[in-house]
Amino acid sequence: MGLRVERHDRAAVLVFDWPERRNAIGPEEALEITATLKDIVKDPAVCGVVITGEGAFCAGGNLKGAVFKQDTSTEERSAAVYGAVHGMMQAIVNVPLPTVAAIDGPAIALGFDMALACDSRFIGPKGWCLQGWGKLGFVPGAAGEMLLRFRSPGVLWRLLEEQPRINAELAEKLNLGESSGESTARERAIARVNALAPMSRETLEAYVDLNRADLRSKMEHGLAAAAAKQLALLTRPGLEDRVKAALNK
Amino acid sequence: MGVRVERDGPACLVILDWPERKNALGPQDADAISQALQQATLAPDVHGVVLTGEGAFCAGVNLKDTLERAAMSPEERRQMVYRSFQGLMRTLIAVPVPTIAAIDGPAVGSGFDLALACDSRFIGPAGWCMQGWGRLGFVPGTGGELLMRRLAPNALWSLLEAQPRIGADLAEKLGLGEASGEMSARQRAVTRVAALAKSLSRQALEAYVELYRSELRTQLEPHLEAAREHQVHLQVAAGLRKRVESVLGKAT
Repeated sequence: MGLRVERHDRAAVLVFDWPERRNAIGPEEALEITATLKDIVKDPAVCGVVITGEGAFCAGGNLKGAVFKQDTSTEERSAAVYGAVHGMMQAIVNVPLPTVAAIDGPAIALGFDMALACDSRFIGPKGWCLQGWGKLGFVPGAAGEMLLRFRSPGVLWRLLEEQPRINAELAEKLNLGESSGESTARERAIARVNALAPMSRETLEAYVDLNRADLRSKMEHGLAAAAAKQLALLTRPGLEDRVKAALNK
Repeated sequence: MGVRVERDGPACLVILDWPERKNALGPQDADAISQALQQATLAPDVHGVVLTGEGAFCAGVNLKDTLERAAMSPEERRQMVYRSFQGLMRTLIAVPVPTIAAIDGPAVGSGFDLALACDSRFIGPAGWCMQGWGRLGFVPGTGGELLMRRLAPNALWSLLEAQPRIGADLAEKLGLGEASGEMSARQRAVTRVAALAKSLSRQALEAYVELYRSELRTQLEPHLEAAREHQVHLQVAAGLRKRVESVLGKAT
């Protein structure tokens, strides 16, 4: 249990496996993911990275630190709450190879944001996404608004109004992801990486470089702006109870 | 044969006509198209430019030329890409009136990029596009990655995986172009220019173009520079001749 790496031919598969918390990610998990992402691309035979979860993709972030450390300064709180998670988002966007999110269970809030940070998203028969942040009265703290806008510019307000479960069919309709058909998203994602591999790692790196240059140049500002907005909302009186209630669910 | 410029009402058509090589382009051909595009809007009553081909739209960069240029130094290669092929994209994006690609045959590689650089794309019953570059192990050297991302942010990886023929239906599904229905893409494109000219003066159309393309125009040069560096690097890397020969072998 924990974080697992599998190799399937030319695809490196990063599997979240913290079943007791449905793969919700706090600072410790984020640091582990960051280090592992940097590590797995060192093997020159790897041509793409699949990010997936055992059961759930990722049920969200761990907000406890933000709410319960009220006595520390804004800067300290910001670093404690966001440092590791922001590092993880940067690590995903900085993977030099194509990244594919394989969603075979719920991907909620931070989980949705992580999927949006990948180049492709496959959604399997049991997979679904939920923006989630808006339900709690928050904005995404890890640039989820910007990432959503990159993938599908017109979709934010509809998601905030309805907070729909975004299954494969709706994801295709909203331009947020691709259906993996009857196979699991994980199988489909591995097949994509292995179909791209004959182009050569060097060519794939060049595509990634061109394709993500704009996103990469905007990540740092996007993360800082999102964290500032979220922190301001989190520290408003009254919201603490709501977060506690949400965490206890 | 070569490139032709024709008028049809308020539309000016720039027609690629090298049938013997499906409008695959060498550097001189790219220069000739650039000149034609510049001339096309000199007459003040031209309200739109239709870029099209006789038969094929454009089968890309002429691969046989590419083999002959195998001995070129990286610096010569960089200069040629910059001047001729990327020069054509700059000229097309600088055209002051609306541009429409009318695709009634294959548009592959650079041909696809040319179509993506136009404001609209109509795809006729016999028309189709293909990204193509990835099959050779290359990135688009003429801005295709940026141009496609602007129209369809998520399409790249699925196109690279499957390299499908993008007919009218798939183009509409991906947000990459419009079907021209039963009429040819060329007829449909001329109709659009005529419709635009009915309600909008050339000055008003130029204003729309300036608003619509200003972001693209600022993004274009840095992207072309990055694409050129990647492309030259990938071409000089081992295997260019083998890859090109294998694709030429399949084509014949």
